[in-house]
Amino acid sequence: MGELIDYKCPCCGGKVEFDSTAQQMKCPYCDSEFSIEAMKEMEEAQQNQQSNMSWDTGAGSEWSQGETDGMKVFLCKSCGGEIIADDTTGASSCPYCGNPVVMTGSFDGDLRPDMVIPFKLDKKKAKEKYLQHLQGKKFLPKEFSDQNHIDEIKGVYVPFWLFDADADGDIRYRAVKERRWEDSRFRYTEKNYYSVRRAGSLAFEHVPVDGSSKMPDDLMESVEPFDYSEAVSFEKAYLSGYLADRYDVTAEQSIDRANKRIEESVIDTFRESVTGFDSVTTETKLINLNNGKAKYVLYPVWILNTTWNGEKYLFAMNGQTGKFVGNLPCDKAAYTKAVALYSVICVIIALVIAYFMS
Amino acid sequence: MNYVIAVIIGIIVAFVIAAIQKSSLTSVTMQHAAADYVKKGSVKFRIQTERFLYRKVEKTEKQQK
Repeated sequence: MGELIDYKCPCCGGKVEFDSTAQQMKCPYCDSEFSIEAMKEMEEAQQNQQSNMSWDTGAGSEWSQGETDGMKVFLCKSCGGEIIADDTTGASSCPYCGNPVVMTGSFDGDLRPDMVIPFKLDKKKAKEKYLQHLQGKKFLPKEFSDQNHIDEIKGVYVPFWLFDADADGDIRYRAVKERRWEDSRFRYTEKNYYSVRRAGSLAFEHVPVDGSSKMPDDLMESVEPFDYSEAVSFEKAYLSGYLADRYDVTAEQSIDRANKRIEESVIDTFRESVTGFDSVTTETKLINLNNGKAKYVLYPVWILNTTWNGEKYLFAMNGQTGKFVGNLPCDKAAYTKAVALYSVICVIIALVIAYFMS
Repeated sequence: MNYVIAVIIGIIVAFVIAAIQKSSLTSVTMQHAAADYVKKGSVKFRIQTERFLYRKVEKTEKQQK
């Protein structure tokens, strides 16, 4: 016996049948009509397919003999952070929480980084950028910028996992074009519904995910982007004068974050290509990643700590580009006064407009 | 009634202006996507279709004065 196939109406969900008069598919419940091709396309879109996102995470390499001689590990007993420094660089306080650190022993070799971006900007530049960061902030407490002290500025090489991938996406949308008009008796709204499809590919390179659980992920993502074209093969000499954060988040643990960012970029890129409609909603999406590769690299970041009113504030500057980030406190009294003043001005303007309009 | 609406709108606009100025104090945020890492020239579409499905017309009667 043959198999019965049901097609659902995209408008009302009812069962669509072939109308011999119209020679098209027609819904008996809402009278919507569709071509055979349109129904086939919608049927294909309903089939459930699994997005495939998988990675090759064999990043990093083995240290050569003697390469880790002179590298020390420092442990912070307060937050558990571990940092690496060479013989010539003493680490006295933790870059994450500012508490004293103790040397626990020699570095016995995790993965050797594949690449490193050396520091391009010095400590003096970090201080200058910090002062610039405080300028023009309307609700920043005056005492914060007057007191103006930074407890510590440290240059830290932060471990990152970098992901390369070719993404292939196939996204279907329901889009609507509206037209309005009126006559003496009625107002009309005409809505034309379209099935829109975008399928294609785009390549991603060096998508970074922070490999240290102690370094706040939002702080590290805020100092992006880093210019990978300036990365060089790792040599221990680059660590001299700086600290290196020890990775404690594996590539496998970082995959989800990389997947999420790449998926969002594919969705955004495809969505930008759908133009000329009044509303667009996504119906189905299928994203596959091919040739996923991960690299283990060190990126330069200046970390600045300050304490104010019993609270610690952490700032970061991209050691390559100079991008400076860090949340600042808000003067609640100044904010409240400003809201009150703006309210008075805006209400007066609104009342004047309302008076003239009436 | 218009004046009440004007007062409410004025207060809302005041809060919006203050919120915009306050937002400059926050600069730390997770990245939404990976737009900075898309390889230049790698975006290629193999299917770009827009198929008309159906039309709906709604009409509402105007209030007769």
